[in-house]
Amino acid sequence: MSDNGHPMIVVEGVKKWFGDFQALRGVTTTVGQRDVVVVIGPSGSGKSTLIRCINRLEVHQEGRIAVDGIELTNDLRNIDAIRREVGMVFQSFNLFPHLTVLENITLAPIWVRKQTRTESEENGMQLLERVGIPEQADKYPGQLSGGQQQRVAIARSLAMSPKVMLFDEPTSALDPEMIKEVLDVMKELALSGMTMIVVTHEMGFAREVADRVLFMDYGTIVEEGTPEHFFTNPQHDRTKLFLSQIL
Amino acid sequence: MTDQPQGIVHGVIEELEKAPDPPPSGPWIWVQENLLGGDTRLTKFFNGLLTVVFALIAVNILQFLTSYIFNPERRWSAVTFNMKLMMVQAFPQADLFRIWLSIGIFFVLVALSLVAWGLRGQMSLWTLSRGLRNAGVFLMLMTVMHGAFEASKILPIPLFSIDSPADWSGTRLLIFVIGLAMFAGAFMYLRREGIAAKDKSIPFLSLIAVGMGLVTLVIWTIDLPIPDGQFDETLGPIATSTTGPWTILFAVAIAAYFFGRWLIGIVEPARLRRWLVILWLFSYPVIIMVIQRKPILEWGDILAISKDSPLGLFLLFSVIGGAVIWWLALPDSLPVGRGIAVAIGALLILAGWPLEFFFDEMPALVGPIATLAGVALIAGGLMIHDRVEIARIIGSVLAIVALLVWFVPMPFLVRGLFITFAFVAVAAPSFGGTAQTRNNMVAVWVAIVFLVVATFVLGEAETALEFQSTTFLGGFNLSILLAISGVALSFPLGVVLALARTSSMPIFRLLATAYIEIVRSVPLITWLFFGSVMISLFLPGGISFDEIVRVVAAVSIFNAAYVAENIRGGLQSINKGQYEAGSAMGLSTVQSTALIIMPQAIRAVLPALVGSVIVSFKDTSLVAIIGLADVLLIAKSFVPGQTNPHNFLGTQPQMLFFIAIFYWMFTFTFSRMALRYEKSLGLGER
Ligand SMILES: Nc1ncnc2c1ncn2[C@@H]1O[C@H](COP(=O)(O)OP(=O)(O)OP(=O)(O)O)[C@@H](O)[C@H]1O
Ligand SMILES: [Mg+2]
Repeated sequence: MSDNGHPMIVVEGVKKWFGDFQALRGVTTTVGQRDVVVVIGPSGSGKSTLIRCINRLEVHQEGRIAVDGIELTNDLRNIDAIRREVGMVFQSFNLFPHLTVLENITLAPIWVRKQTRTESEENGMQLLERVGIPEQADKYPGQLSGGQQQRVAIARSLAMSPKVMLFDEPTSALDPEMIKEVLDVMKELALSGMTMIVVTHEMGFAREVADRVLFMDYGTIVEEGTPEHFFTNPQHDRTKLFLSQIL
Repeated sequence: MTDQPQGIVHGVIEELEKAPDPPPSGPWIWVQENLLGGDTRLTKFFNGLLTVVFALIAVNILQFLTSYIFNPERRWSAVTFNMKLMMVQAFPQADLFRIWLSIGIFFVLVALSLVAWGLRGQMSLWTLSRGLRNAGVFLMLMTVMHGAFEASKILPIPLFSIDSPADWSGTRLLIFVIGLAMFAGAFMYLRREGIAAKDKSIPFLSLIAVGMGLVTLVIWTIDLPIPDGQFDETLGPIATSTTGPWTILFAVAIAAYFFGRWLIGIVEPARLRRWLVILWLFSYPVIIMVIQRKPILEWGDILAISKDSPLGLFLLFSVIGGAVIWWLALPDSLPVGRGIAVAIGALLILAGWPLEFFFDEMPALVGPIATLAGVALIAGGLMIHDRVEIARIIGSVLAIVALLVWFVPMPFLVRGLFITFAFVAVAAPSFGGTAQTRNNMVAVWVAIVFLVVATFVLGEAETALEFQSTTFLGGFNLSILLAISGVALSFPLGVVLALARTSSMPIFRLLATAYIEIVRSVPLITWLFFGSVMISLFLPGGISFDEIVRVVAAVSIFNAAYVAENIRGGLQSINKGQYEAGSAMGLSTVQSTALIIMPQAIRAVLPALVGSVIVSFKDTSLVAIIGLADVLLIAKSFVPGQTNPHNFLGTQPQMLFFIAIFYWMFTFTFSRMALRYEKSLGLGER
């Protein structure tokens, strides 16, 4: 899977405590370039915490994380560099309500990548076309449906041309008929070769797109494997129990 | 039971049905719904009774007002005769065109801004004609009320006999006819169009134009009370020295609007807006310090190239500072060698010849401070490779130097320039980057240096105006100045305080909290006394400010605490996800705060901020207590104190009545405009 030797994301023995509560108990995994990894697991198992550690929205206390060869340390420059490589899509979209859709998308390219306005707007319109809503460019997020908002959020992350995209339950705040439009965009993205880590309960998506599925519980990766392995032949009792509840 | 079907298909209803007829309407239905209310007879009776009682009270209040205003004992000539005094106080007659010019600049900027920001608000004819109808009823009621003395004989209710009627029948009839015409016209229109009027609308701007036309017409034709001899008054037209300028101003405003329409055809709107913002920022100090103050400028001293001439300082700071800022705003990351070079350069700037250049004899403290700063910079240059951090170091070292030398005799202007340079240097890496933004940063810096130097020069200059008062500012002109400066200065300060109070750094939190809690807990009047008497004691020797400046400082310091608390409320209402989205995209904290958090926080608390602007506008009247002649003091004491050539003794209540209405006009207009703006914002939000 690797293009130039090294894996895209390396997570090694990562431990994370909130106060006395240990949310991650030593997580180790590797995500190759162009891989799509789906993370599943019961509520509170540490899925969000894991992917939030990868772009430093949470700070892990032990272990090591590297993205595209850049070590995640306390050095501000490394953190900035990693955030430039990693895009993140949140469950609650987190669009900026005071900016139009296009302004949402161009904000970071202008101020972080130092692109000119015209350049970033052209790029932004292309991305809006890619996620299928170019006609909404001048609306405000509050005027869009949930599915459209999430697609804008994806376009906004893509505007920074990241090498990795993290999705934290991108469809769980959406009505059923909007879930598909967001998943379609994500599938297209996966097919285009983006490296992705997706926390989701959409098993159809996992089956169809994922290269690998991680099952997390109690802050650890309990079991991992291909989708076929998971949906036909899960091994661990916790995995079996979880899948039986969710399918 | 067993052959119960498992499901039933209802199908889809294809044809659309007409909506049921609207409920019947008519006067009686309206009365039942709005005046009686309730379901049972008993509640209808009681609600009807309440309606009648409160209607009587309302009518009574109205009648009190009309009989107060139109009472022949009221000497409204006191208002008309003293209008100039109340507006600009001692401003010399010969220089009055400076005031008109100021208003003209304001009008032109407003007109251009209306075009540039595309404020094409529409008012539906329905709203408009309902307003006209109600206003017509109000006018007619007022005139009829006025004759309520007679009416009280028909309706033997004591509530109705408050004051004797005045014999103003001509005016009264005219007002009645106007009211009737408004009512009838609007009523007929509404009758004819019905709900359809809701879909028709006219632009707000044409309403404003029509309004200005009507006002022009009225001021040229109306007769107002003017004093006649010492005690009497008659009716007379408004002097052309008032009507003329206003007519010209209205014409200029309309011309400026059309000029703007033409301009926007050839200039990009965004560029026009940028220029307008700059013009707005410049207009205010120019109006106060140049146009109205008429300074005497010693061009020879100003333009001399020397170490403490304004031009010398301007060149020094804009060139060296501009170069440093240009460098700080470069996009690529910083090689270590350049970092050291810059550190040494900055060291030289700080400790080398400029300091010698600024001081006649080097004060004892300056040497050590400069050396310390230099060492810090070299250390920083060796350890830190990041432009942002270099900028922070330079900025904070300069700020510390500038603050420390507070206790060292140093020209005030130099100190001010150091502090502003520190701010701009810190902001440069966050907002620079592309060639364009980099040039903008340098341009902004040069403009700031120019502004600071110009303000200083103009502030130092003597005024050529001849007036009999401590300051050329007085009356409403002073109130406006205090209000605008207070808001303009307290706003940035409030934003900084709010950020400091919510910061993760305990020292900032502590300082901001202390500031806010201390300032808020002391009455504004105390701060005004403090500003007028005591601030000088805390300033380094040799520095003194005009009383007005000290009062503006006191007002701003006070308002800033309230602004800060309001904005803090806004900051707290922002979802944590907004910060996370910002940092996930790689925005720095400064950028997230300026571009994402602060705009939303301010929008969230806009109503509260509008409230505090209104409060601070009204609170400017407190300066009367420290002896500044604002419009309230003039109306309350100066006017009723006159005995010659006209005697206005005993007019105090009516002057206060006038001032109340005068203030109300301004605050009401402002709050209405703010409401419209809030609504226009709300459209796009959430
Ligand atoms: N900021 C925080 N402070 C304290 N505890 C936290 C914090 N964030 C998460 N936790 C705890 O850490 C554990 C893991 O949380 P996490 O959000 O990663 O779970 P999750 O697997 O994403 O669950 P869900 O499916 O509900 O989103 C939970 O028990 C949660 O209560
Ligand atoms: Mg989660």
